[in-house]
Amino acid sequence: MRLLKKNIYIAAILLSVMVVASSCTKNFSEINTNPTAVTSMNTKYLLPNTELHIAGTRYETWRMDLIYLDEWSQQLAGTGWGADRYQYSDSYSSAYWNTAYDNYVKPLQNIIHILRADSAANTNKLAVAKIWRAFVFQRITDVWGDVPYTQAGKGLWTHDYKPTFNTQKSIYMSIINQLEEANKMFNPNQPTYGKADLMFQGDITKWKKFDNSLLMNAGLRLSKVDPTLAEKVVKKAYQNGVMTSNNDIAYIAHPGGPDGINKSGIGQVFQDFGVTGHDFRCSNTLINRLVKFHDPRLFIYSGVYTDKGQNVTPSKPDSMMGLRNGLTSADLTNLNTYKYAQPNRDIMVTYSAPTIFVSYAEVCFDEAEAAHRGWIQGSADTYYNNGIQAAMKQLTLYNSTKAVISDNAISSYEQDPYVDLNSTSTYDSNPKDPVLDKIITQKWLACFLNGYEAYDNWRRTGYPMLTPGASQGQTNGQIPRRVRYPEELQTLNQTNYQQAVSDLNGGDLMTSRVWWDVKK
Amino acid sequence: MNIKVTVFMKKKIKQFMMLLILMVCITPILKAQELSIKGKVTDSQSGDPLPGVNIVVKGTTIGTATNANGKYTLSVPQSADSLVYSYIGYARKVIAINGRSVINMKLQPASIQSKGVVVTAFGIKRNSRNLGYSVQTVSGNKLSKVPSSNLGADLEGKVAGVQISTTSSGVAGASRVVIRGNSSISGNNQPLYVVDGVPINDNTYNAASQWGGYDFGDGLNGLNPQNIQSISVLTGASATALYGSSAANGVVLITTKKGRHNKRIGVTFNSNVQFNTPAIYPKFQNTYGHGSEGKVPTTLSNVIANGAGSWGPKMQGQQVLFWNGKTRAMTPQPNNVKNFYRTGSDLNNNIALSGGTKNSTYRLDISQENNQGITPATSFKVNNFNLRVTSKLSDHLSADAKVNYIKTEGKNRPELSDNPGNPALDWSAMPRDIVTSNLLPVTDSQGKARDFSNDIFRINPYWGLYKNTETDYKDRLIGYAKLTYNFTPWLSIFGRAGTDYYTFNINQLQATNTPYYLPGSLNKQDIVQRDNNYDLILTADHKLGANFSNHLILGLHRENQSTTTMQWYASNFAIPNFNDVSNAATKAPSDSKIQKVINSAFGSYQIGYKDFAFLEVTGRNDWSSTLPLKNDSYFYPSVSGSFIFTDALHIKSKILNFGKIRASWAEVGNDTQPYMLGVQYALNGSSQAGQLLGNMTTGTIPPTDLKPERKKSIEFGADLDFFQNRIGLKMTYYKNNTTNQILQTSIDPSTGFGSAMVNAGNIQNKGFDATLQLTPIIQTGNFNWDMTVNFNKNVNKVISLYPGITQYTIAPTRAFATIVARPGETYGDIIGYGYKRDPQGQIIFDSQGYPEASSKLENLGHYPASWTGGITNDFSYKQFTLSALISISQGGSIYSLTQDEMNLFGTSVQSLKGRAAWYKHSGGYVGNGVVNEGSASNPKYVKNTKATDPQQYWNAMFNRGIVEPFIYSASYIKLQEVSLTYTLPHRFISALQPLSISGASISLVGRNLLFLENHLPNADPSAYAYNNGNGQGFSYGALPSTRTYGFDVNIKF
Repeated sequence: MRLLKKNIYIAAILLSVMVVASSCTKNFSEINTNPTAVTSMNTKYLLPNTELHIAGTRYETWRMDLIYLDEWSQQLAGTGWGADRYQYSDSYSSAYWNTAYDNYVKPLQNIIHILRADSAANTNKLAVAKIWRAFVFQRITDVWGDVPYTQAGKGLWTHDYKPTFNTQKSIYMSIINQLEEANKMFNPNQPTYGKADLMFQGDITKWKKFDNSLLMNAGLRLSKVDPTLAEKVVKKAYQNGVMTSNNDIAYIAHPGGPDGINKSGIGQVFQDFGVTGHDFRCSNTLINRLVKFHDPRLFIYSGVYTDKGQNVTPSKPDSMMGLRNGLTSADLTNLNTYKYAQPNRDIMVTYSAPTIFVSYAEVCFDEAEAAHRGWIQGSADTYYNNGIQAAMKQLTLYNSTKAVISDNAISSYEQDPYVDLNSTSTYDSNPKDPVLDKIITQKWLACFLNGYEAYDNWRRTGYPMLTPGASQGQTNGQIPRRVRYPEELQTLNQTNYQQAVSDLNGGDLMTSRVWWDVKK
Repeated sequence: MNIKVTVFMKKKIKQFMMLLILMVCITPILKAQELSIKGKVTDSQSGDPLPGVNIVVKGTTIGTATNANGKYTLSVPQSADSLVYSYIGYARKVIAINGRSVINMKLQPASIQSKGVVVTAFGIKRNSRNLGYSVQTVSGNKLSKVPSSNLGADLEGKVAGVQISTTSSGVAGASRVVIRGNSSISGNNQPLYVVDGVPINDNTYNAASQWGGYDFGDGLNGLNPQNIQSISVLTGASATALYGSSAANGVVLITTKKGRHNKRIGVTFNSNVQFNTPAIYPKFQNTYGHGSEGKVPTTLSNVIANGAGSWGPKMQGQQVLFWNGKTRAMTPQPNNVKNFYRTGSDLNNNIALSGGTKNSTYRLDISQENNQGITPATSFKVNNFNLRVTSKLSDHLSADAKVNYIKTEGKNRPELSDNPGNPALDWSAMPRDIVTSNLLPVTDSQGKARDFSNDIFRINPYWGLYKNTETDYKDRLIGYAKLTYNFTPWLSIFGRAGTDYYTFNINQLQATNTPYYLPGSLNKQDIVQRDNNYDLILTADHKLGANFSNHLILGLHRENQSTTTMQWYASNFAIPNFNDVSNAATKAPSDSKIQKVINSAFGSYQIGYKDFAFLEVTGRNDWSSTLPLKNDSYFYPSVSGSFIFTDALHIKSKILNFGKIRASWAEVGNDTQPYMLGVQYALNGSSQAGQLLGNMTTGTIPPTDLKPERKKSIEFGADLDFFQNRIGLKMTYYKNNTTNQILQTSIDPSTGFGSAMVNAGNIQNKGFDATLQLTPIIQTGNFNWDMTVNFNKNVNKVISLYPGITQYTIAPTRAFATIVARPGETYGDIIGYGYKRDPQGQIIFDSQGYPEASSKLENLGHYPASWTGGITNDFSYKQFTLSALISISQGGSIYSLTQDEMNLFGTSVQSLKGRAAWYKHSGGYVGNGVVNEGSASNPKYVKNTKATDPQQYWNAMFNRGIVEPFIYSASYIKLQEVSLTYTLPHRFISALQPLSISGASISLVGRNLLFLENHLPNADPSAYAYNNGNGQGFSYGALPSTRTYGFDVNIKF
């Protein structure tokens, strides 16, 4: 009996302890809250981080801009990269896909999502995010063609894990629309990002000029596929007011450290691995033009370095050599690749080199092209020469002492027959449109190391006229017209991927063409 | 450091030799006075006399057998203190002589199956015959003879249904233990480890990924095998139901030794010395040297520019220019990789003191391990101090406490996988005519790397070990305190608080001038890990009347885990080679704290009828802090039963002497990682132009309504003993389904996220386990042979994933293949491009003679084995015991990126084909297949005859990312462990009385001695991986596994 009592007593204690234990879940949400993170954030911290990411980190800049696009547009030639031999590498394609959507599109979408809650006071900030979004998507769609757009970067809110692909056509229509919309949203009476906007420090005027310059560029991109629309968009952009000087250049300055995010992505590729590690040389397509045009940028753009990193740049321009594109390992065996020019390590590819998104020079060449096509008023030649001057002068952004080009040097360059728009001499043999050839070649030169723009212009206009490298690769020796989709889309977003592939003429190949790149 | 070790080792060898000489010399000259003992041996149940019973004086070979009437007479030396009675089918009995001259003995019929008690949940001992599920036990001495640095690895081949693999990390790496197949798609698939009833932490930190990293081991490194009494492996879900969420993948229960009542201090000394040599490394060609296209470049910069790869001319002693600027004869260096490695050594010393009084016991274990790896400069040291004390405080109250302090120190662990500091990666590209010693010194006079090539991703193999140094220190405390109150002999309650607490300090350096990161960097991490467990458990074990037994457990449990990490990443050293955070231009500190609490209440009740029928039910409710509040409580039950039909039906057969059938059904719930439920933002520690930078740190889309994961299992089995226990067989059929999985499913990155967390999926594992124990020949006085065979066949199927998601990425490899789960297929499929084939299945080559890749990614195999097994043989003859373990794994595939790269670089044997012909312009590599001479729409396939340059052929293969030719069978059979032990005879021990030695043995041991089957051309198929995660089945830059041989000395005082 005593034992029974005791047992009941114990059972009662146990039961009560159990009840207490099970109710001990009150602080669970506190336990499950990360003490080293917050659950919401002011966009003044998100925007500068996003801008630096859009400028490109080493990872995706190396793989997409340098390895694919700069080699295909023959600014650079590779001593080892398969892309220069027209071989496809999925990891490069997915590097840009993943980074662009994760580090550019998602944060922009997030900023837009946060700002919409209080949109009147956020109108300027929202416009900035929209412009960035348009800029980023133009690059993304130009690389692949049809890509997720409407649903992209929104997985957190929509829980749609298989975004549909929008056609490139609809993306361009939307970009044009969004840029026009953003332009109207700026209101001087409302707050701006101020210094948190690392590009323009909240300067509304500059943002509007950037917006219109992007619009003009997007319009021109359609010159082959839809000249009527292209003309309309270019006109409108021009009327709204594009960049007018090098003060308007859309670029991010990199202090060069201390952290990776503070360094130029391109600079990191060339500096982190030293002279032997990057495997790039300047293409002979580039160096020959710089030399033959007597271009004062030759020694600013390029230099010659030994495998120990010693600068052995010859003083005579004629001694500078660029490497041919598409050399095989057989070609390279007994070739001393250190004889060939590399991007200038003290100016162009330092940790503190700026990342230029759109320069005033590019805008001038766009205006020159538009004037040449008769779409806007003014003389193509004037715009063109403005572009050359701007392109030469903008180099001080890279180095204010070593990259200074005198006005005399510029004016004598402008008179070089290969440069002068009024001269009938052309470097390329028998271009269909010698004037456009010169304009686009100058734009290509101004966009050194901006493979996105250089490659897009070549695809659209065929200028400068490029000879494919010797390797057959996977394109039968043709310069690729696009990048293949990342492989994982075949399984992660199968139906939409297949739809996008079936819309491509020729399938998911490097030789298939994107919508605006119609064969002409 | 090395010198000291050598001296120490020499000393050890000397001591060992002395002992050996003593044993051999003294044994025959021993003499002693004798006395005579007689008696009768009978069956304890029937009282029948037993003929042929073996009787041996303990510790000697002196013995006899009973006659037909069960009687015996034996002369024993005066020093003899006890007799050992053994008889097939009966429990062995040891009895003290105590000066008696007549000893009658009753022997108890025994069964292999009912032998002994097993340790089950919470360290509660249960009689194994009562259990309705399978528990397998490995005794401590099966683990300590041939120890590796990881206890998980020591279990390989010893337990049915457990697949074990290790990493290729050189020294003290982690192990991967998977019980009855992978059941979680994205979560951990490894079991819970419990030491003396208290769970320990088995985390791996900073495991290597496809981009590189280290293997810092897991929670099992540093545990002292000498201190282990036994290990029970709970394979079925019923057994694990009581351990809750963390036990969903099974439980490994480790029971350590404790002191025993003894009049004097028992001292055991154990010394184990093992030497390691590389066992398996790639098959290299030794015909062609450095250069490209069959030529050696003529200038030094071109020699270096083409320095990675062995595509030069035939090595025929011709004078050519080498990477170091010297011109010398070009000759093969077949041992240049072997010469890089050294003979590793692993010294384990352990001393244990134990004893006790009537009311208290103690045991103190002190051990030291000094492991010098086969890669230069690599070492791993362990100091382990373990104190266990038990005390009976009153008639009702007793206490039990343990303190285990483990200090480990890793030095210069090799970089793994794709990090160019990984020496194995560098070998794959290094020309076959490089002399290893020429690679030293690593740096030139300016402190820059001396490299055979300017390929910064394939560098001087010494760089990673001599320049990019690594150190790690772990100070760990595992312990508990337990108080038990016994109300009555059948009712008790205990409370226990246990902890596994450690600090782990990691320092990884990339030296200034590291070719792949010239500015240099330092990564320092301080991790503090706490795992606290508290439980309060009531147990009742009571008979109701003569026929019914009752066993009840009621308990409460709270588990509190936290990991805090402080990390410094510092780069760009101002003063070269001053490797301190203060010297770095860039410093990025970051910290994190991860915490989790689980509260539980549980119970189990077992009713037994007449000791032959048992039924058990369990139930557990968990409350986990990681789940949404409304779903944070989850309950799961189990039911199991066993029926000993030989007892119930009174079967008395000479063939079948014990038979039990059992069945169980169980469910286990599971939670997830902390902080998965909401979006998180953080400032990233950097700034620009005075602006702080922040971002959303959540990379996985949080779930909308997360529910706990469920694993349901059923198992049926039988335990049978035949021929008077000469054959024991345990068989189990099981099936388990894990549903509602908490899954981080990969999603199209265009969503902005790499993954989303969802409740989805169903993985099924079904299979069959068996353990067979055999005594193949009837015991004679001196010879004994025991054999244990275990076997598991597992069939895994991914039944479903998240709707519409056709693939879950388990792990990406560095290139070309992915390890995935796809609905309808096996977990761990290897996906990549195959060859493009014509309708007849012939490989299609393009017009250049290179193979074309399939148009779609193909399923090229899967990594899990379809069956595994182990065969252990123990032979004993007089004082000698020989044990050998063969482990077997059959089925499954491995993708070797190493082979693909070795072909690319021309260093593999496979790269030889076609070379001689190509350089002589008489042919080349001709792919076996067809070429399309028609059009794409109207193909006409004819035999391919195009001769290609082999260098370009493998280059094309690599660049096209074709995976198919590099998939190998993962099947293997290996002689895993061998030990030969000599136990000192009793006479000798008596002669050593002044030294008070009570027992001694020495053993020769070996591990990983021989592969009887292996298909992988360049690595060990059981240790190819660089981490112990779910993504297995691909080999890249694997360091050689080691072959171990050595000896073990054990002396008891």
